[in-house]
Amino acid sequence: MGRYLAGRLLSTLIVLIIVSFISFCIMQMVPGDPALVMAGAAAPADEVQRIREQFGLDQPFHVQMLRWYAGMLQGDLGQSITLGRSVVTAIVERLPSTIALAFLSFLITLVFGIVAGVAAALKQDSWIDHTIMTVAVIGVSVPSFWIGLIMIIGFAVMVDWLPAGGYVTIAESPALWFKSLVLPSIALALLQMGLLARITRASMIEVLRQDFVRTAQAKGLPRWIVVGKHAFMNVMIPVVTVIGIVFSLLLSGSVVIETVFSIPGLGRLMATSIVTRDYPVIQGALLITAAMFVLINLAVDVLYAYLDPRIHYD
Amino acid sequence: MQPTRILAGAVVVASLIAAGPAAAQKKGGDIIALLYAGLNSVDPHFTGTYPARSMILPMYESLMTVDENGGTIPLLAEKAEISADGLTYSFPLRKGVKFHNGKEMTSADVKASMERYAKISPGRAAMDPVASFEAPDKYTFVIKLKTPSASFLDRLASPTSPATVIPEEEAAKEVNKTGNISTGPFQFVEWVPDSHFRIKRFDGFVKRDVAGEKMTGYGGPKTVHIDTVTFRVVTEASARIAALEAGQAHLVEDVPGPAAERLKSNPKVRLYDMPTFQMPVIYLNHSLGPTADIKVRQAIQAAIDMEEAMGAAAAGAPYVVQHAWVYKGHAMYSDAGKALYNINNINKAKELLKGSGYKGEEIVFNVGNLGFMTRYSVVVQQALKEAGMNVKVNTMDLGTLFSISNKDEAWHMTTSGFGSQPFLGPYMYQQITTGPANLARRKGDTALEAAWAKFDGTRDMAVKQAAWNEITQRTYDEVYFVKLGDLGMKYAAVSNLAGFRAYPGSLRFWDAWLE
Repeated sequence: MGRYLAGRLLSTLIVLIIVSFISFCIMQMVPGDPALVMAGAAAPADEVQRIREQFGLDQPFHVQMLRWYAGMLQGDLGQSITLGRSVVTAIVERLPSTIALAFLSFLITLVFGIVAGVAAALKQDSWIDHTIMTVAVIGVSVPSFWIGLIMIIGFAVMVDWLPAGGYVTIAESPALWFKSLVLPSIALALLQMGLLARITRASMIEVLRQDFVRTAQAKGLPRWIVVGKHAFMNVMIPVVTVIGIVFSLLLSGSVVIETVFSIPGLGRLMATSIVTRDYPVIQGALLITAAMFVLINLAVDVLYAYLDPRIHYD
Repeated sequence: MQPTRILAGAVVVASLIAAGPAAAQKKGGDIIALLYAGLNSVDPHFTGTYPARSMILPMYESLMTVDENGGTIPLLAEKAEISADGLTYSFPLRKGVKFHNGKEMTSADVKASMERYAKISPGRAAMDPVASFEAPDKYTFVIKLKTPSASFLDRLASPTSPATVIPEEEAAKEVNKTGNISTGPFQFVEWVPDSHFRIKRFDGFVKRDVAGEKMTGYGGPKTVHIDTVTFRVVTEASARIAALEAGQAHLVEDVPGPAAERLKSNPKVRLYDMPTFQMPVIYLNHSLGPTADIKVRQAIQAAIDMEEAMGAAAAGAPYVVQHAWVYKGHAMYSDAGKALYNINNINKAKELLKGSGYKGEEIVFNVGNLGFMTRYSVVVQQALKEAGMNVKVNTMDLGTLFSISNKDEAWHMTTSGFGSQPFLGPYMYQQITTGPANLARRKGDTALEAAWAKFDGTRDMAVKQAAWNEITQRTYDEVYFVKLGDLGMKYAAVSNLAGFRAYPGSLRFWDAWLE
């Protein structure tokens, strides 16, 4: 396992180098000039040029890229063009809210997605199954920004239970922190819940038809042990694969949800930076997001070995 | 030295117009204002957008500023004195004005601030005519010019990239490294980018105390009743309205028309109209393809129904269909250019096209992805199509749009909107209609340059007006831009917010209070 992990971590590093190279190339190709965005369309040409020089944007592509890689190796992702702080600081400031949002959504997705999928499988073709699958299809189909806005109108305007937007840090008030995350977490989780419920249902139906489940039932084991222990552990292999994807999708989905709910997170940072062409921030945020994606996939692979003793990595 | 009587008069007149409500003001309270966009920088010499002004200008003050109609008035200077040769500007400073760090403002601070501004600000072109900054005594600041510039004082007062005064020791700092210290009625608390910007009342604030002056624009005697103002950036309009209705915000800007209609029946909400927020325009590229031909440009100018285009752009927001490059009510407003505005005649456009060298080539119309731009572009495209033009619309984000329109190639028409230009007046147009970076990409328009020289070379208002009329007529004749109209914005606030007045400059929370 140790050698496997070392190999995977090495490949992670290579993936991150490739990701940052591709993103660097894409940003060079996309029209738009951060200096012009910063100075304004009507700014004099020499002022725009001065800003370009100040941030090294006047340098050739390979010089800019080598400088960036040299900085990255020393833990320096550069200086934001618009935020007046380093890229690392800008990211570190926003990571807590994005991680809190992603984890809360993940928890909601996991609990409700799996429970709904198992319930639908156990009551296959009943009204319970049809209802759960209809809700799941709606969850998968409806855009998250629309769900977010409807929830704001329902729970913030009509009944005034929860805030309409904004973010309170856990240090300021744990209760308000939780309240500020409830609506965005649910809005973000709905899509993934539908996906997870459908996968769980399909896997559970398949496993319940297996011989070992029939044998367990024939032995006279209670149904909850047959389902909860024997069937469920086997359902988890495909479900864990989906969970990895779900967590990654939650991270990318946060771009929209953080904008709708005005949460100062990594997703909103990326969206704003793209508009202002703040290249160093886009580059840094992409690197961190890619690292999270790759590490989550690694964690999922490690989890396989734990769930299925037949899987060995040595 | 001759005291500028014009300025003193302007202050009194503007003050009378802007006289505040006489109701009893209540001290205290925290206001949450939701903005449609955030800051690009907190550096007082580097910001230049409307949302930035809303957040920055309550804290920062400048020597000169603008009144309710965009006219130039003194703020930290008691007055401006201009020598007969127009080369020396002397500013006696107000005494006893305190910075947020408790230090008294002196001419050394002003000098250091102006030097920093001239070095780093996007608006530093305003300082091009300056020969030297001098601080002959503690309370006098002097600017000497290389050549006379009649619009120098207006440029110094401009709130777009304002020439704010900060402590001398702060002025030594690089861009974005200053500590948010000035002399304004509010002081900095915190800025969490993409989340909020918070300011609080500065209890040591020394307000202007000149007999007859009242609060106007960014000037006059400002009084703060509110404890704190938190600006939150909520880009989604529906989310802004929802927060206001839920009682989680006190004021929201840029309320869409349909939402405003609904809010009219809500007794807890009061709507405010600002009829002059910006001026939607289309830039025409004089350096490339079909639009390099004046007949084609004139055909575009003739084809569009401005009433229809503005109705689409506004989508329920207030708007005015009028020709001038300044808003109605501005001192320089005139009929110049009127005959060429809103011609709305497809047949005339067809005739003009016939007389041109246009052979159905593709006309590239780049459209920004802001709502009002995409809406009016549909009307414009349809009109040009009817007139026989082959228009290709490319919709893109503003970063891309600015970048492309900053070059001679790859575009013929571009959507845009003038924000501060029509509010602050003629001098704001000089930079965008002349020089190598003019927005129409025009080369060597000596007639226009001569008219600008006339405008900038006199302080006689009648001569200045005549020169401005000439500039306006020339830009219409040559079709530098196609003006669609004046577009407003709606604000919505809780009904117990008193004293708030919409202002084209930005949001203002001094002289406002919670009842």
